[in-house]
Amino acid sequence: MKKLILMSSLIVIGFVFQTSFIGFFNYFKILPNIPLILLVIFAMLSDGVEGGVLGILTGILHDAMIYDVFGIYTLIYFIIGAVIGAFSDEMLRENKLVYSAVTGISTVVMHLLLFLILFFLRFRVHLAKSILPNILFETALNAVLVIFVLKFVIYIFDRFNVKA
Amino acid sequence: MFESGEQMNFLKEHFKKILFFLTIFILIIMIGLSSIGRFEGADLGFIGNLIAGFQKLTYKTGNTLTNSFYSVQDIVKMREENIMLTESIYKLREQVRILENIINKSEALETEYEMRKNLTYDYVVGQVIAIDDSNWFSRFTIDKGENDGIRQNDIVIQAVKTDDGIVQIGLLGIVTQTSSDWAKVITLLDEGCKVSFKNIENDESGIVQGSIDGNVTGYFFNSKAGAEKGDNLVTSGIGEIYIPDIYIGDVKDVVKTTDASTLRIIVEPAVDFTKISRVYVLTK
Repeated sequence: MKKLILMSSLIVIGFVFQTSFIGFFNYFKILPNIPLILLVIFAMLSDGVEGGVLGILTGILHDAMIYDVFGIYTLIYFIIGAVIGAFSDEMLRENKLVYSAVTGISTVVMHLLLFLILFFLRFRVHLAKSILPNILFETALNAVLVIFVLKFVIYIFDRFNVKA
Repeated sequence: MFESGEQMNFLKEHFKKILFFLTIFILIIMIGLSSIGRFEGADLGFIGNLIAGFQKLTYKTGNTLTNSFYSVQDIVKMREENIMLTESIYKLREQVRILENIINKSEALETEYEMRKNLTYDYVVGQVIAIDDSNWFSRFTIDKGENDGIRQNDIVIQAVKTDDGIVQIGLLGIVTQTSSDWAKVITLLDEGCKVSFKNIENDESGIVQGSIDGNVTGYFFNSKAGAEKGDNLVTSGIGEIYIPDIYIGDVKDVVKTTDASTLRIIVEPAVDFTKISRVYVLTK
């Protein structure tokens, strides 16, 4: 329970940081996705149910505080959290490169799911090809940044005597 | 009895999978209902207000940090800008003199000029506390909500406050949802934002819309209507959401569509969306 509360708190802090601070450094529309990185790390350290719950929390924060169509990010982050959590036992959690790979794949999956949902919501998604380079840069940035965020998370877990 | 036992075993075995797909199904239904306005979404209440409070604090910190960084950089540019602005003021004063001279010669124009000059709006000044200027959307959240008189569909503009009232710089967007102490705004750059406009040069109306690629594009209702680069666009007031005569921006480019009978215009918004902090919400 302590672990879940700590992870939830860090996700809320990550969300506030993403929406209210990191945007000041948005020079080329390329920004890391801190809530997604945190979700991937936490789902890797949990099971499918916990991953799904954390995914729903991450998504609800986005949907409730920023967007007007409710459920888009809740659905996307739920799928990512639940799937990673369900397969986390079969992954080499000690290998940091696995975190990088999973974060990279999750970023691509997130954008693919957004594309699909927005297509059904009748957005002009054919214009999305212009943002492809940005998505690729974001994927690379997330894959690198996850290593540092993981170190920070492990440090916080140690401070609060929570077993990763 | 045997069959129900088997069913129970099946449910126990596949409980997580069933829960997973059931959650997805519920969320898809919620997206559908929310997109057609049948479902308002989650108001996080006290927790939402608490998060909004943290966002406000964090945004202010970020703003102060970047402003102090840029203010050091800007000192060098200030002198040049000062000279340029002084020249612009002389030019604009001359233009005003000429235009006032023309207006004063026509009673109808003078009446309209006085009417527009004295037009005031009730407004609430809001501070941006969260922003999503990601690739797919362009939205932000402000620190004022229902308690401050803000309602859904209120217009959000960028403006400056002078002794004579507020002077509008341009249209930013529209309030989509409100909570007690904060409100969500969709900007002109977002695919979901459609605004009816009027071209000041020829009075022709149409619709402009943001898009995923970051361009604001539009078309005219009248297929024979034309436009030139640099034409000024303002809100037309059609549809009764947007107050008329709010400055949207200039025509940056005019492109013929594939059927060649209609024009597509690309608009340069009047507002720099990367530098929004304080906004004015026009309350109805």
